[in-house]
Amino acid sequence: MMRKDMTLTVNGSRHALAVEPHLSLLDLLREKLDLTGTKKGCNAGDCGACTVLLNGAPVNSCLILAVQADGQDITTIEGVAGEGELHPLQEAFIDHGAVQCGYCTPGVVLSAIALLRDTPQPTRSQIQEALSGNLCRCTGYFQIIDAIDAVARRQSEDSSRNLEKIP
Amino acid sequence: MSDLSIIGKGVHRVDARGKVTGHTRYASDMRLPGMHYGKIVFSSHPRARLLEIDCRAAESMPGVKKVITARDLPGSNRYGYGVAHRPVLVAVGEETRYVGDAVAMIVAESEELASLAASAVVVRYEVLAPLTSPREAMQAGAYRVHQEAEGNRCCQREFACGDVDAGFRNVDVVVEQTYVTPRQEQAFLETEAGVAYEDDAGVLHVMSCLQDPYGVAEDIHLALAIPKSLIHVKGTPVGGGFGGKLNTTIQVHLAAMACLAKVPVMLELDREESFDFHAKRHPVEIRLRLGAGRDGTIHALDGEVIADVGPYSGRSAEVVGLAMSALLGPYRIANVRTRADGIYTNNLDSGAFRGFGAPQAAIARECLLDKLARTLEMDPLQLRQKNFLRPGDRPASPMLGESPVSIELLTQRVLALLGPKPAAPENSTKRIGRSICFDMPVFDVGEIPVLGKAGVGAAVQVHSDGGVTVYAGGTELGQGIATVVAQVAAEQFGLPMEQIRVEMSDSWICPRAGRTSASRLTFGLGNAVLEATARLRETLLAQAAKLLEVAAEHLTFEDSRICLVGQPQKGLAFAEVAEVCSDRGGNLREEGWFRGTGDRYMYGHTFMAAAADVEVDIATGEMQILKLVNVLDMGKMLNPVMAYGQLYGGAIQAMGYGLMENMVTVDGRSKTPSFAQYMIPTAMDLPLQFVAEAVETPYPTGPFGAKGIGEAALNCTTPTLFNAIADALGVEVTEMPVGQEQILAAIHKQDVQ
Amino acid sequence: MVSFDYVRPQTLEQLLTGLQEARSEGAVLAGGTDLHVKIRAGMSSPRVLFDISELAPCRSIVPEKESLRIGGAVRMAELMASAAVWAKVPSLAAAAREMSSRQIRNRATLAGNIVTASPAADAVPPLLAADATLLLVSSAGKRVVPLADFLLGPGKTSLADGEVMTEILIPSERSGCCSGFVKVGRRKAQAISIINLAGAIHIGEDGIVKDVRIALGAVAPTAMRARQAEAVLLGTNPNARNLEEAAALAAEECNPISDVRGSGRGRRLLVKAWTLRLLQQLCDKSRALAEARNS
Repeated sequence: MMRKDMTLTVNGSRHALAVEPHLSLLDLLREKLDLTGTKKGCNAGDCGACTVLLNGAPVNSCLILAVQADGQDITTIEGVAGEGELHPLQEAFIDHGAVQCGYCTPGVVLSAIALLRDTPQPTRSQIQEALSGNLCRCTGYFQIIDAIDAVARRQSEDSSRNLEKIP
Repeated sequence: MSDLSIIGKGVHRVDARGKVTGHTRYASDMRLPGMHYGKIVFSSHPRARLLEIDCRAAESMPGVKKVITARDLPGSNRYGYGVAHRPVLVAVGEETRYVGDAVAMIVAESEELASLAASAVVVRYEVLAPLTSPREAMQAGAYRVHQEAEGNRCCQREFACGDVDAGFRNVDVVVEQTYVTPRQEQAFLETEAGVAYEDDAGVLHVMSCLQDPYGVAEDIHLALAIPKSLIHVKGTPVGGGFGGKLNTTIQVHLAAMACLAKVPVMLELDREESFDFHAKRHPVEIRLRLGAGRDGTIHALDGEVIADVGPYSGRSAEVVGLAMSALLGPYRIANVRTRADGIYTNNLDSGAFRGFGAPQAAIARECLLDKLARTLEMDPLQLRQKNFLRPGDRPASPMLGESPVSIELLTQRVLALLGPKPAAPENSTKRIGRSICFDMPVFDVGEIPVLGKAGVGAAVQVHSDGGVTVYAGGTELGQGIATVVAQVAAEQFGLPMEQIRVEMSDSWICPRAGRTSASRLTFGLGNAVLEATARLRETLLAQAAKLLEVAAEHLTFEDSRICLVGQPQKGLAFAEVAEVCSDRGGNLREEGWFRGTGDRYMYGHTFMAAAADVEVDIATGEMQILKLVNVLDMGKMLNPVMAYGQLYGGAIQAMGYGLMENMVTVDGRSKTPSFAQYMIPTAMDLPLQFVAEAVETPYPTGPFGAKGIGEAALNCTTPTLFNAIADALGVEVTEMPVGQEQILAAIHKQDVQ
Repeated sequence: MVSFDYVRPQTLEQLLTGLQEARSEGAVLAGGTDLHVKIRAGMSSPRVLFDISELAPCRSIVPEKESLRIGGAVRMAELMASAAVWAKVPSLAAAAREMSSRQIRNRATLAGNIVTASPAADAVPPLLAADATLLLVSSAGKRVVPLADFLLGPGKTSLADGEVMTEILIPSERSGCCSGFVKVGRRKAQAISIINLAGAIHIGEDGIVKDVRIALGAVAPTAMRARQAEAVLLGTNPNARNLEEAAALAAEECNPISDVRGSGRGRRLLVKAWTLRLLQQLCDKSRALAEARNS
């Protein structure tokens, strides 16, 4: 089968690739780009372990063809931490025990990033809803929700502090 | 005990950073030069005779390195825990026993090519009628899943004390019920996977997600006749186990692929294969009978367990034994007769899953206790209080020893955390129900003279720069054992966590530690590390004493220094002492070997209370858990953040088991082969409130008083939900799992009657 | 081995020409959340996929005077976020919100949900209740088909080779109408519906039911309108007795199977319970609106 040329920006880096049409975005990331942080939990869109941000929106990368993402912008877990510094969500996950086996963690972190960007002050219910596509079998979700909640509240305090600074 | 600086604190996990950044390499993330890909051809039928396998088409496909059938295998082609009767590949002329039996294997250059070749293997079967229930398998004339197992009995356990028949004659009330529990799937997010290769020296290296590197090495040796000293098994960070990766899963197949194809091989099961393949929670039928006096004293208990073992023995004898003994729970009952049978069928395989038989028993026990309470018109908690074990009591089972009975404390705490029962809204179809249940979870304390449980070793190395490495053979499943052993070492040496490295789950590098199961590793490895570090402390103190010209007993480890007690400025850096010790030929690597001191087969035990307030809408069958409370006696929490994580995770698994999880099989085939059909709780399914609390009654021989807790967290939450629903409805829901349909059906049946 | 060609047509003409040439070997790809799963399971093996997810004629939400036109490739997440959908067909937005998961909603499309024709499809009952019609286009021309006629059975529709569903046309809810959607699943997210239903009721100022729609899903080979239940209420003054009667009829009219999610008997119990609950809620809401208008 004929390969298709495509480009893809992943974590800020632009890639030019030739791929077979049936290659999933998930397999492209894991096998062609060696970005193995995104996991294959079911390959059917049922578990969320393969969650990436496609133009900022959380999606199951196992249900997207690589060619469908031509010209688009992808964020994977490897692109979350800054230079030598963890993202506040990653720090919070560590602080709150939100990580046990860690297999769902990359997908959950990305779903949480999208949530806080769209809803900076989510209720616990909204956090639960945002995570509804990410199955976790180890934690029971509570500490994950605590971690996201803590980051949201800290960001709210920070921003109101910043507002106070404005003369 | 003096102030602890790291033990008892919620310090960060040693593996958290790798996991939150996506850098941790799990089994399927590994990449080796020249790596090929394996694919297993599984049986198309639960039970069929293999007439012919034609691999010619598959062998001639591009990129196919090797096609393997039973004929190609060296060794016995048999392995397995319990009885070594599991085939690697079913041979022509033999019968398959379940849909997870393998008939052929492919090694190819890519996963796609391997899958393609697998589909091209042509297999002719004589399809035979599978045994689909224990009752069917027990009938006279039923075919034998294993020739040597008469009546398809895999195992049988019995226990009796007192005189049960007399006991039942002297009671005022008898209640009896049969409980049928569903098949629960571990549903770990990471499927079975691994890589294997043979090196130039002929050593086979297997890196895979597993819970017992030593058992895996044993099975590879048994099945493929590879000398044990040439097998190296390394457990990778596991993406969830819960017992489903306790038995050898794909590692023997993977080893065969690597050895026969003579290339490094990666094998990864897809989700449907995984759901079919590994052993799950035993579905059981428990018939339980209780006899009590009018005052609520239970005089007699009679129980029978029939467990669906599936095709192979595996862990069944142990699970079935524990299901039977857990029927007693934390209660003192003078006259007991219990019996449990594990029966082979051609259904999916059954084996280890967090709780190991105790969750099933808890359902029967705690639900029947509530039924007894209703019959006696007695408050269910009062009924239990009448019968609880008292301080100083030893439980009836000879398998259990001394353990402080903390039930009264648990009761106080659970009532305090529950608060008053909420009132149902006026003029509504909503009803409130409450239940409080109890359990007596067990954990391994190194007193079982059985392969893989009898001793736990660990090694600790102090490096010349003051860094420390702990070599611990248990596997990190997510439960946090790597962090716990690091904490113990850090505490012992007065070092920060950053200075401790952990090397886990390596059958060559780590002293034998046995299996990651039975909630045993904190206990066993913790004690082994304490022993190893105790010897190292002596060595380092002796060296420091010489350097400081003081007596060793005046020195202590504090803040990365070895210094005079109460005078931290008078001392030396830990690193400095380590360097000198190393330079002067001191031994800075010690091993600890923990073994229970008794001569009796024994488990440790602890106590747990679970409570729930639920709101049921009797018009629609909707059920909401308003509040869930779990109080567990943990002995000593070595890391509260991780310990609570076990409680939360276990409770939600228990909730799933009760409300939505059932791996249904029809004629031996799964009807729920994906995460879309086998449903585990999502983040939206949580109780409105969940309060978990640990109580700490130190266990005398536990490290810092710790008990094993990983499984305890799951056991009694499920019956708590069932009983709370029954309390709300005024009628029991007898079909599990319990969803809206089941609740409506129970209400409807009651209305119709 | 899964293998197909992939094309992203830039115009409707290109799409239709391509589909016609591919005949039965071409498949339309929009969200892909059902199609990719089917292809991997071997249940579908198209030779070429035509990606319409960016095709303009399939992408808009156009409010008209008394209806709403939704492009086939509009995603569930976009439906949920659309003020026009909430205003004109609120039960559809409500259904989209309960569907699956965020990740799936960010990709899955309305036409995809219809064309997959699962009896449990969540978007279908609201559309059926609203008497939606579908615009099907091919190189041979266009046709407008009522949704009720389009769905033929589980996984079966009257979509012909070469046809694509470019738009869904939905008559909007009249003012004064109250509608709602109910999804019953084993868990609160990512659940295939055990039953689902959409209801709408319009009660006049005289307290008489002027219009009532009840659409049930997952209880018959296709989603269905509970016509007998509707007939019992139309032109009456809704009260406890006739609401119960309607709910009981709905449970009788449907034809649920037993499967891994639930039994036929159990589904009937759920249909009765939830039809009654939904009707009660809609009647209450309708009365409250009427009172607010009168005061």
